[in-house]
Amino acid sequence: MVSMLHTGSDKYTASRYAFSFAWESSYGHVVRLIERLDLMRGLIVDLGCGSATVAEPLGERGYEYIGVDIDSAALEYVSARGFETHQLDLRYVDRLPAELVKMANGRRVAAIMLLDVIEHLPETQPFLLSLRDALEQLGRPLLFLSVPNVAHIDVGAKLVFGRWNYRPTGLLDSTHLQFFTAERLGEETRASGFLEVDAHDFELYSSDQYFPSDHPALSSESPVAQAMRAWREAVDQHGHTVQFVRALAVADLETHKSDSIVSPSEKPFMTVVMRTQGTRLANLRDALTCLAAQTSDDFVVLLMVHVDRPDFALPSVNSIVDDFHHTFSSRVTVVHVAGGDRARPLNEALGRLRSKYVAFLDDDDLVTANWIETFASVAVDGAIVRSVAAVRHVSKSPDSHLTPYSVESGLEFRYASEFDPVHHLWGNETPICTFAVPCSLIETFELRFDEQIHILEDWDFLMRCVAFAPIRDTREVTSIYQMWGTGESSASLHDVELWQATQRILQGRMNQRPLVFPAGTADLLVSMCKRLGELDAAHAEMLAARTQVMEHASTIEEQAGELGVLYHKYFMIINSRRWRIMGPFAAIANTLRRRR
Amino acid sequence: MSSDESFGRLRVQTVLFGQAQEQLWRLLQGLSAAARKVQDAGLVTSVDWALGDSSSEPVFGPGDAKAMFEASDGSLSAVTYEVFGANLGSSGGQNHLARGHPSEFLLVLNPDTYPSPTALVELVDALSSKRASVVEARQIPLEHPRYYDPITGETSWASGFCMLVARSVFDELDGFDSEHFLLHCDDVDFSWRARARGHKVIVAPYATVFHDKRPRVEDSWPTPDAELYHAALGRLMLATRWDRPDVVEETIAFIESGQSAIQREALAEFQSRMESRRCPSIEQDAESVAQFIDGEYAAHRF
Repeated sequence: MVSMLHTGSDKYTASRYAFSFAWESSYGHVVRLIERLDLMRGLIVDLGCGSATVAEPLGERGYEYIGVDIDSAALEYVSARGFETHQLDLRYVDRLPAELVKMANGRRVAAIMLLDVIEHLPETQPFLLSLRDALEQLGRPLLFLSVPNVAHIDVGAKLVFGRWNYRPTGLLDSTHLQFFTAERLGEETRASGFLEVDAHDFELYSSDQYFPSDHPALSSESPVAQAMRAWREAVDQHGHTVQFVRALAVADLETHKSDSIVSPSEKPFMTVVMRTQGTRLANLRDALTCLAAQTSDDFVVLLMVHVDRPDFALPSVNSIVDDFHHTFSSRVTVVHVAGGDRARPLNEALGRLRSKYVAFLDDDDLVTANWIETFASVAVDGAIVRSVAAVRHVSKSPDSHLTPYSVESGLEFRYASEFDPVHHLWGNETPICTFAVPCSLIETFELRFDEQIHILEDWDFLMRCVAFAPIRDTREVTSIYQMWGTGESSASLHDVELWQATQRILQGRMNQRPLVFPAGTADLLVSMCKRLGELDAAHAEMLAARTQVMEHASTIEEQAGELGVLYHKYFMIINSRRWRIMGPFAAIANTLRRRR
Repeated sequence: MSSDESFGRLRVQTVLFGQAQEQLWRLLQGLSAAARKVQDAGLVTSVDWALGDSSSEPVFGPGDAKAMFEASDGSLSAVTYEVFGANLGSSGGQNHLARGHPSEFLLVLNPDTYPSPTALVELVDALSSKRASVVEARQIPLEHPRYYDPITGETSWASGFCMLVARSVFDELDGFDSEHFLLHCDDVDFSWRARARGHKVIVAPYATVFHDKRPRVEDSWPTPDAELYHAALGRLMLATRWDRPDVVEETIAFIESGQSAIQREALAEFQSRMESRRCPSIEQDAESVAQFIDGEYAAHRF
């Protein structure tokens, strides 16, 4: 480890940018990244080198370090430590290629470094494009970038409360002209003709912006802080990244023009994700017929065929799809998915979305003609939209040659027509065919179904979605959820104990997250508490009545006992030989005695 | 019968009453795919689609039928559209469309349907292989609760939402009784008359046809006034023809004790027809065919 060297310029060591080297810092991560990539030896040109914090460690690893900066004091300080230096104003971007080629002077350049530099430039892209030209001329060495992350949770959480605290250095250095998030950094570098080849970002749970530590946005005990950290973590893995440390390679500019970018107006409203194992082909055909008969065509279908061996299932499924009119079949994409559990095909589909919303339909469920249209009627403001399912019982036919399946019941309306966020903590009232989620929500939070759980994956997914988006009820029954008595479905294959165990696991997970409920939930909770109070009172009354009844029963029992004893005595007397002989006379004698 | 006719021609008939054009264009897509499939299977030689319009304002304009035919991409041999100029009801409309158009198979199809691609194959196959004369498709998403034999498919009656009939039987029965059953129970009466003459009426469970029914939480199925009227009138007519005076009396008592003005109107119409002797004559052997069970015309599974 190298510490600050006081060899020449005390003036520079007093600078706010004179950092000492530490492995647990962005500088340490840069050196580790270079080690990891095992670059061939050569020059490493450090643009905007400042105090050249990484010069010694790189020198120790056999690289020839060159420090470049506009600050002559900094350069004096670096050259005093025995390193080659050059003065250059990076704002003159046009000069950059020629200047760098001149510096290299025919020597092999292993890497160029930009550590804490681009955030100080007035414009990023012209600089990076010019640098890319320079790298082309230098034989395409790698570029190492270190850039502060303005989307660290400490910055974001405080900003929610109106705080934006500039400091001399760090995440909110007062001289920063640009601010970068992971997304922006990726976009800017790709647009400038660079491809990321490796990353070793530097993270701190508490950054230099973690002050005041008792602020409700930061305090670890604060529910607000807990909620904001949980949300931030749900978006990407950079909530605690202080510094993006990336290795980039020069790439052809053309390769980054994406053909797959579709403007929102061109996107279909809905992607319907349908999973099948190809074992219930008649059911699949029925479900597809329901989709073909929709009153709105503004949707596409991702038909996920989840089988390990596609030899039989895939041709059969393709054949069923091809039988439909081309206006429908052309909107169905059949995708083979191998491996994993029930959630795997859903997740595969979530990575392929090109629409505004996504809904799900299993191959044994059915929908009404207005399923899509009804979802669309309330799909605004990024809301999750929810309809209602009717339930009916079906069973597998004993002879599938004659009947594909038998319907055993009429429709049951067991699900509430309005989403109740509190009730949903207890159990699912929203089967997978009754909700649709904005794709923007899925992209923003990279939401996926949990492949570790074997059932109730839809409930878990929905509850994670509703934590971030409003929910709008259509109050319309637009799907038929089929409960299988015999045959195959998640409802029949898994026993009640497994359902209850999974339910408890998911409830435990929900309990670990801070919850945010929409306005109006307090009333729900109040009415639930009131009802609980009434039930408690009724229960207490019932217990009191029961105690009273028990007491009466006990008294009656005692009295019955006494009566029994008396009756026994009476019986013994009545049946005694003496009574039978003398009894009547004794009675007459008693009467006479009383008369006297 | 020529060799061309030995496979049979299929005529699909749909009676309209104020439907949206979009619904019929969507049905055309489903029908085209199903028609192609049944012809590819060699079960019929051709499929044509006849649309008859009972609406006061015609659903289609000139040229629309031609456009629909062209859009069928050769899967339909013809698409015709006829404006009736009067409300003939579903039964009258079907009879009118069938008249003078020979075919071996006749498919009565509601406008608010969408056949699955294999529906026609399954229907025609069931008619041939099970020696039935009337075959009903299975409705999705809401299946009709009527009982059918799980092996033979035999059932009390076939619904006119999608009913394939052997043309010879349709002609033998002189079509639907549109005089007494304008909208409701025409299919029940037709099925029972077929069965009374020894013909089999069956359900083909693999022949699925989407029927645009939309349940509601509050009252399961919203029932329009016209349906209430014709259901009541149809029931009274049906019970009269099939010799069930007890059902007639029970229905009258039900209507008279109820609050529905529209059902009372139906009762008044029935009584007026009775007085003017415009009621159906009683069928022979009615007892062996007709089923009046718990207010329905068949045993129900649920």
